[in-house]
Amino acid sequence: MEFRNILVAFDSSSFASRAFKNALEIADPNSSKITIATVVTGIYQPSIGFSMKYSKELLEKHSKILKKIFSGLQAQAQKKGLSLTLKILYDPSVSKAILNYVNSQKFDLVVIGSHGRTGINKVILGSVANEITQKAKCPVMVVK
Amino acid sequence: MAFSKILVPFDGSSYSMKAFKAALGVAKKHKSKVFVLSCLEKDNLGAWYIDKRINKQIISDAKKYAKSFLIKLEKTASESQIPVSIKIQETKSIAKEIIDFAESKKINLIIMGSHGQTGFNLLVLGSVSNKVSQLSKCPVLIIK
Repeated sequence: MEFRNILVAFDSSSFASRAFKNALEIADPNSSKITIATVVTGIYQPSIGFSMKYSKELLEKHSKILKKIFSGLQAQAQKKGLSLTLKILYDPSVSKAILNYVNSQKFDLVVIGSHGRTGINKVILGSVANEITQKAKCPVMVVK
Repeated sequence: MAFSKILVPFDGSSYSMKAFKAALGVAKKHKSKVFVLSCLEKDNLGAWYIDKRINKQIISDAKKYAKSFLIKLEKTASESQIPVSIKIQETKSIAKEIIDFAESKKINLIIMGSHGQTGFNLLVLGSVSNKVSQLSKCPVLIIK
């Protein structure tokens, strides 16, 4: 079994960057592709009603920051001779967005940190990590 | 962080067989040592209330069976020149035994199937893989 098509769920937390390092470790420089997936959840704006909306300015700001982070990751990957692609998903629910993306594409492996930005309790899994390990149709690696 | 020590909890199910194959793939690339651990659950054996010797009989039969199975695995691994150490352990809690074993041997990566012998609901994780993925201190790769 080889992991050719690897997805890393990334939210720039320390767990995510460890997950990314582990993904680099497990990937094969000759044949593997790594996709970095991040989810932009949007801003809750009461004036519009109960919907999550993206304002244009914020969206541009977010994508700028993401691209900056991504170029940093790309530099790390290039040292190992791996190619990266960035996928930005727009959805109010992080786990749903990643799950839909994972199950609609053919990935061999999903690498995810055990906690994200809200991780406090180090004993159990974070909510996103838990949902993805349970529901993804491909192998999942949880990095602690 | 290289994966120099990989643990594969093994129960003879098709999922654990898949996990073992995946472990061999990873081990080949990283030149790692593979630990195969089979846990025999002491409780929930039948008929102990009739005759306590039956339990002993069941356990020793299970041990024999597990050993013959693990020796087969050892052979396939040695064909591709990957060092393997096998262990059969009697325990009360399988998940706890796996986690303790991983900690005592300083395992870098646990590779396990999403379900074991009792798994039938393919949507969620099996109980053992769920517990291990939640509580272990090293990365866990779950094969579906």
